Amino acid sequence: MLSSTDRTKAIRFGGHRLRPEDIHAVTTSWLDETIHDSPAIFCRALVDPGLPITVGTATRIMTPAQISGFRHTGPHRVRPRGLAGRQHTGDNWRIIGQRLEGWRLSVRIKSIEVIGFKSLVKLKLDLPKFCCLTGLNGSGKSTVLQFIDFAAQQVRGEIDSWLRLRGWKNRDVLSKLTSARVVTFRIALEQSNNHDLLWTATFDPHSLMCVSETIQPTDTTAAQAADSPILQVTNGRYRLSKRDEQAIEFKYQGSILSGLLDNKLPSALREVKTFLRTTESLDMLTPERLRERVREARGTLGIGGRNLSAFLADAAAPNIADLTKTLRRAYPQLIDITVRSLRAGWKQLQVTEKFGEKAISTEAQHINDGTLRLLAIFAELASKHGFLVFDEIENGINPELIEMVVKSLSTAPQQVLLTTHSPMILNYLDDQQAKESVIFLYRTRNGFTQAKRLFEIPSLSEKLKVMGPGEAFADTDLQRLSEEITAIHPGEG
Amino acid sequence: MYFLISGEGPADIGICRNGHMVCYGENFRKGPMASVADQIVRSKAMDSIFANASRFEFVANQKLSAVAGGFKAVRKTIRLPGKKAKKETRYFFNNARALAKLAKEKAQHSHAPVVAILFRDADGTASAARGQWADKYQSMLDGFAEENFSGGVPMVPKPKSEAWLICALKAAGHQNCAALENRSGNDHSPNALKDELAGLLPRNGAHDWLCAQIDQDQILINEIDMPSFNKFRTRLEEVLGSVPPG
Repeated sequence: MLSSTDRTKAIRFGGHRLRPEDIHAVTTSWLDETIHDSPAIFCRALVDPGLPITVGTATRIMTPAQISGFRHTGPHRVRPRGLAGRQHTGDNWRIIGQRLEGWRLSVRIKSIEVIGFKSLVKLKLDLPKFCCLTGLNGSGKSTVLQFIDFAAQQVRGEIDSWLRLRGWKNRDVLSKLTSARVVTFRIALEQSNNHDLLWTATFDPHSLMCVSETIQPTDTTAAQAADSPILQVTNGRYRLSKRDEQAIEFKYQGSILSGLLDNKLPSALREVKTFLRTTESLDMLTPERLRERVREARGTLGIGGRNLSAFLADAAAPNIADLTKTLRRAYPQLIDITVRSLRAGWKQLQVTEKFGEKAISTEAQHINDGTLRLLAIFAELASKHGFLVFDEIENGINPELIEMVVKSLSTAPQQVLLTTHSPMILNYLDDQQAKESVIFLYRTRNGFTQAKRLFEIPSLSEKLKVMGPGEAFADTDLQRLSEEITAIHPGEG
Repeated sequence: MYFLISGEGPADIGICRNGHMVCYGENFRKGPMASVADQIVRSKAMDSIFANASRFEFVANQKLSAVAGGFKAVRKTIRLPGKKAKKETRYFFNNARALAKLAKEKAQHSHAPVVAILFRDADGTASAARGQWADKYQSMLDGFAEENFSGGVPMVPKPKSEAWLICALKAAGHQNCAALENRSGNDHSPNALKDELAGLLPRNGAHDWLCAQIDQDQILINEIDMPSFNKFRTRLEEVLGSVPPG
């Protein structure tokens, strides 16, 4: 077993020796939980089958059948599972880091279906693991992001605070395009350690709670064999798995999950709740908010990233040294990022750069917007949050850095959703990524937001043969494209 | 003189019989548009493009895509629409560049001037009736120029090749065809050009019949008067005239 003190032991694979700082990057979140059958085996299995790996004095070889990943079958046990999904490319350390993180992040959203949230009147959206939403202004991109944050907030509770922070009234969640008085949604969740689940809920903006909801496996045989549904709420009563139906004798807002204690939940629900709770939507990422001095972050970047300084200072936060190293690829003059503790628990973010022979420290108020944004983005990528959401990712980022940002986001272990207007962002996707990940949102004649994979549209797919995805996107008259789509499918909405 | 020709499929310029991406001589199955270009060449008292198997080559769509793939591989280089390039033209520009690149290689190997004819429907799959014909036509010329190739000839019927053929078959004296250019290019529309053309052709063997008629000068397509065809004819004559024979 490799513990954090074993960092100095030599780990080799394929004749290459891992340096201590690389091992550290790998071990941070992972080895601090004691795992048998060390990550050394795990690492090597990912990188190259048949290659012997030495940890200290012990050498092991993995068989091809044991490639790709390990399944968490309990807090102290791992065993190999079969190949699934695409291998990411990149240098060894990133693969290791990603897969290790990926192992832990076992939940992702497969699709959302929204009925009656603002312009999302009847929207079915399949979400690839890495998703780029495009569309004209007003097509509904930000609304989709708001919905995801709204859904995540359901498990946190405190819907009223969420509304106030956004400056919304209760009824603003409803659609002006229909007469529905509730918001209904269905979210399909994929779990690598458990059955896929479907969460269906009806939210009432008057009481600020889900007046009915169910969570059940999507696989019908599992649904019948197991105790299905896993969760069911109707008429003021609730049922969890095998247990008897009970009256709801406590107050909550949003989903009942917000009111139930984590350690009383079945593991499948606990994982889903954690995933949703840590979903971070940075759609209000503004420089002013990133600069704020805050006391404690409680594990999230907060609305608009306001908790950035405290987030970085937290024990659970991504390792600042690693973050600095990553950012130095973009800013070679960067020496250090620190969070100073001021009086009374306030945290102050500070950046130190080298100019010539001098080391200059700059406090958050004076750090430029782009650096702060990049810092927030990479802090999120290095965190354990399961689903990262970014609005107009390109804002404030200078063109030289776009390739690095796209590569980091598209190969992240977490699920990522971003909106963009930028051809440059899209042009750094390879053709396969473009076909899977780029979704075009448009409004029907009735104003309903709908979605389509952009590169499944024949004219875009034809263009992709002779130009990059960003060029194809920029070359297209999107207004006319929207009109054409709505002319072909007038029935929608 | 060497001819490089490229189109979208068997119904326009043609296709390689053996499924290859590049072919010549007997391996090339000619399409009506190839015959059209050839009629213009012959009308200038020159030998047919296809007279000598070693003096022409057909380049399939997929080959151009492969060559254009070389341009797009450098993701950092992104050409954006702006003052110098309009929307819905990049497809035409890149295909022209790709053909120009091949033409220049051919010129070096064969030590003969090369004429490259690139056929694309204006309202074909790639642009689906978006964008302006004139911009698309110009972007092909720009694409040839980008590779410093002066023998490029855009063959861009508006909206599609069916319009040219209908004009040649139907119109008395081949006049007053300009209205055909304003018709929809959509094959599924109520009075699609495709259906109208089919009505003017024999039910069986239409393809071969058309080629034969044009090759034998029974259909004098080079006399039609349509803006998009006129542009093609003028440019082809210009390139033929500027190139020394042989």
